[in-house]
Amino acid sequence: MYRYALLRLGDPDSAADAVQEALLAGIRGRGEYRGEAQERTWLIGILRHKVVDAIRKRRRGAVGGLDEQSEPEQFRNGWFKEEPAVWNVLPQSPAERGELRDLLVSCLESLPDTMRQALCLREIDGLQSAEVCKILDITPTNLWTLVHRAKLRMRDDLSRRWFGEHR
Amino acid sequence: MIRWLKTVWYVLTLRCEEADRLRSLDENTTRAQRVGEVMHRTLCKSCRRAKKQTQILSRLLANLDESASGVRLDGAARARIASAIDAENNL
Repeated sequence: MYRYALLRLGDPDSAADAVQEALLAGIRGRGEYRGEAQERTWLIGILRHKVVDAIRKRRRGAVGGLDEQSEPEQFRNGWFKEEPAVWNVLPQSPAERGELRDLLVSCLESLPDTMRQALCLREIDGLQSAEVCKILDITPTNLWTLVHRAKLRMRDDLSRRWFGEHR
Repeated sequence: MIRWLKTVWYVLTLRCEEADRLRSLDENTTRAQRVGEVMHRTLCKSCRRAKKQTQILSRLLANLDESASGVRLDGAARARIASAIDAENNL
């Protein structure tokens, strides 16, 4: 639960607060738990609401200094500067899968707050774009740019740190 | 007619950055954008690789098991949460 909150809020204290609020809400609402999902899944559902509340409180339309007009460094005049690497080596053993998972988390952590939140809510939590825009208080164009830039950075990081080494 | 010409112009002049941006969120794209992206990708090796990367990244993120990573609450936060739970249970 802490890991989930920390990745989205980016701050250990806020993440611990969200976990505490979710656990207390879980205790208060335990009568509503019908055993249809695992307890952990049910608690993560509560935690997601707490995390979203915390993000909403902190955000008021700021997009984290994102300059939508500037060209990402991977492009020159709209064309790729270099051909993206071929990704064809996916992990086979559990140890490798764990290594890749830790690397993914570390790449996510290195993203600016708004980018990370947009990517987590959209791609990991699977929320619809309209919902993510409401939570982050941004326009659909902002979201599109944020997700695109976040994916570009993640792809670059993974190309360098995983697919480069394991090629 | 002008609208049609604008669409054809958009499809023919689409560059990698815009095509890559279109692939990053596949909701709410127009037909012209989708056609433009496919046509561009057919002719562009970099975009074919970029699309593959985006697909793999999306799959990795959707299946990311965050609970398995080693980050833990520190002792003070644990104690604070435990005492809040105790207080709640004693109400």
